Amino acid sequence: MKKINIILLGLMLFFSCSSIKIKGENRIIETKDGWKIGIEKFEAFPNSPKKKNPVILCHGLMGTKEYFKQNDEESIVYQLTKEGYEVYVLDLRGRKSDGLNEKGKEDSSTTSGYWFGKTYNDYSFDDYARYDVDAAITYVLATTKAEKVNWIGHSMGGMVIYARAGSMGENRIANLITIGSPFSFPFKSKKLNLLSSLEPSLKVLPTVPVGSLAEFASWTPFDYYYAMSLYYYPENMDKEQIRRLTRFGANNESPKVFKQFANGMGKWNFESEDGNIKYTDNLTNITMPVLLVAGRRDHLGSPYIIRHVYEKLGSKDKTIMMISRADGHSEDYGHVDLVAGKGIVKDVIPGIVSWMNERTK
Amino acid sequence: MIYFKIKRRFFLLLLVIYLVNCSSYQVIKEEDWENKRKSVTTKIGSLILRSFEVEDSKGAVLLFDPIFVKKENLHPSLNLPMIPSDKTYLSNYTIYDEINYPDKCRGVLIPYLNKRGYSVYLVSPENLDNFSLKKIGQEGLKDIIAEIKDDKIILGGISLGGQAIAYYLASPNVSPKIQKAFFLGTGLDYKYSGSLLNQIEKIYKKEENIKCKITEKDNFCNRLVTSLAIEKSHPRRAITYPNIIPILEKDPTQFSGITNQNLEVLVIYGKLDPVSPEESMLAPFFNGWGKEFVLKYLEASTSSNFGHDYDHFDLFYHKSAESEIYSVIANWIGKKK
Repeated sequence: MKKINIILLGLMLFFSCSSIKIKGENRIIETKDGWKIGIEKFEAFPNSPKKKNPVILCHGLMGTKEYFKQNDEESIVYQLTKEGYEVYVLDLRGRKSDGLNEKGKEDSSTTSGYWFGKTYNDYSFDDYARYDVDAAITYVLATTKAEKVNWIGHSMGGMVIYARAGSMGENRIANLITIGSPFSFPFKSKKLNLLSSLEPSLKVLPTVPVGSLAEFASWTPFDYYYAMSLYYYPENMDKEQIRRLTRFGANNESPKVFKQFANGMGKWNFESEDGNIKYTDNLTNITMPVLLVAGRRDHLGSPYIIRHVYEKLGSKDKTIMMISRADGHSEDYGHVDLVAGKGIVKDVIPGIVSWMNERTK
Repeated sequence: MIYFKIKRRFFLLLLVIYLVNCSSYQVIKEEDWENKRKSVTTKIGSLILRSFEVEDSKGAVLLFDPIFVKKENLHPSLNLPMIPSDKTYLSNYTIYDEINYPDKCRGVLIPYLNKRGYSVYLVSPENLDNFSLKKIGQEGLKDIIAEIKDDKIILGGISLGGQAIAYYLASPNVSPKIQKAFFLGTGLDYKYSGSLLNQIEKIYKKEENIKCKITEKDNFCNRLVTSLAIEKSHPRRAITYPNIIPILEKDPTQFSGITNQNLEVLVIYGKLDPVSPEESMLAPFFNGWGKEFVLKYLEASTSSNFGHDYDHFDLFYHKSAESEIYSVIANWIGKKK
């Protein structure tokens, strides 16, 4: 009996996953096309030098806002508030927070469905850029009375601004920081090829069940290295971080969004759903200061694609910040570890903060 | 006793795996191809041409000598004697006796191509004190190419030495003998903030070939060339040091003529390579896509199902380079245009 108890205790410890400690104020905002999306507000530290522009953080494809917070006091959210920035962490449509009210309780009136309902999984990347980004900026500016925001987007969270500012005339962003954000996928590596080969199955699936699979995986003792190495460099994430990422940070994705990415494979241009807008070509319309953070080991926002974006941008003030050993950092970074890895407080955040501070007096 | 037996069997098994692994890509035995080839060194202008010709050659591959890499890593017979200036700069590498796998398990490009029936010509500057990749590419290489008798030549740019090949390919009078070109770890466009060139300019003010001090552990050059794979198996002393960083081209439009040639180009980059990172290798081809010129690329990374993410030196030193990279080069050379 004693042995069984010990085994059970061991298993509980093994599978246990502490929740994310830092929490802000949850708000539900409505987009112009009727979606209700979640945004979480974090006040700047009381004694910190207050900054002019609030920061909006936006997650990537198949992600949620939770991974920006999962390192608790070593998260980008916490570190920015410590620097004096008021931070808003956005969940794009279709995330778990759109089924919650402002107290974090289940609210059926805001929940989206897979097939039916007022809002369901039938949206594209264009909707993120056109409606969700607009709603977030409008809300934050109205709340803070600031003139402009600083936008920090990881992966697709940066792409939505490339699309919106380049092709939809957005001018309420003071500074843009993109972290591992590609904007074309000209070459398909073998693993990316494998991923895009799943595209035909999207015709019958109501959702791309990445979040569900990831959550299931987080309860198993396996590390799924082959698949996961595309997303992060395992050396940069400890087991608890990986567990939090898979349990809280991953989300199911709309097939239309996934298809839009799959259609972009093998092309130098990322296009709107109907193919009428060549988003990548329109990067020349962007003139705001841009910091492009890239990870040397990133297989999704590969450095050569980041360079391609850099060349296309119309901004005069643009900088590539490579996170790599050769650039004096502790490791070569992969895609997700750029925002959720164990060394970001030392390797990634200081560069972002100092770049932003220089432009946000 | 049983434990001992198991242990011994285990080691025997390991030994067998090791030996099989080391010899698995010896396509032709050493002595066979050694008899079939001849090695000749000629001085043409300010360049040294070393020929490694094979009988019944399937074609010629002209490599420009990498500046960083010890020559015997391209061919074992090139270690000594060297010309004096070569010796000054290329004899300080410590990698050989430090690595825990024998030389024959390491990737060595020239013999690999020889064994597959290609004559190889290796060009290097006579004097490493005062050479210019631009001058070599725009002026020197045409005499070398005229010297080679083969009708069809494949150019190979290796490491930063490949910039000389790029200058040649972008020049107006490229020989019709040139069929294809490949770049193995050659950075071509460093015109962006934070690039290698950017960093060099911040540290070194003078515009000349940079000699790196190998004794400083945290030296800028040292950071560039450390090989993670080698470091892990052999900490510290196995790290190789570059002696020279040549003057790199500041204006990448100098190479834009490459995409106007009717050429097939193969670009091979290591995912972790900070010397010739992917963003510097592919940038010249962003606008050339879809023209007559054809670009193939190979990313040496786990994403391409390679055993690991390659850095700069792995492209030339790593034991898997033969099976994962040189085999691709040989196959690509062999394919008809």
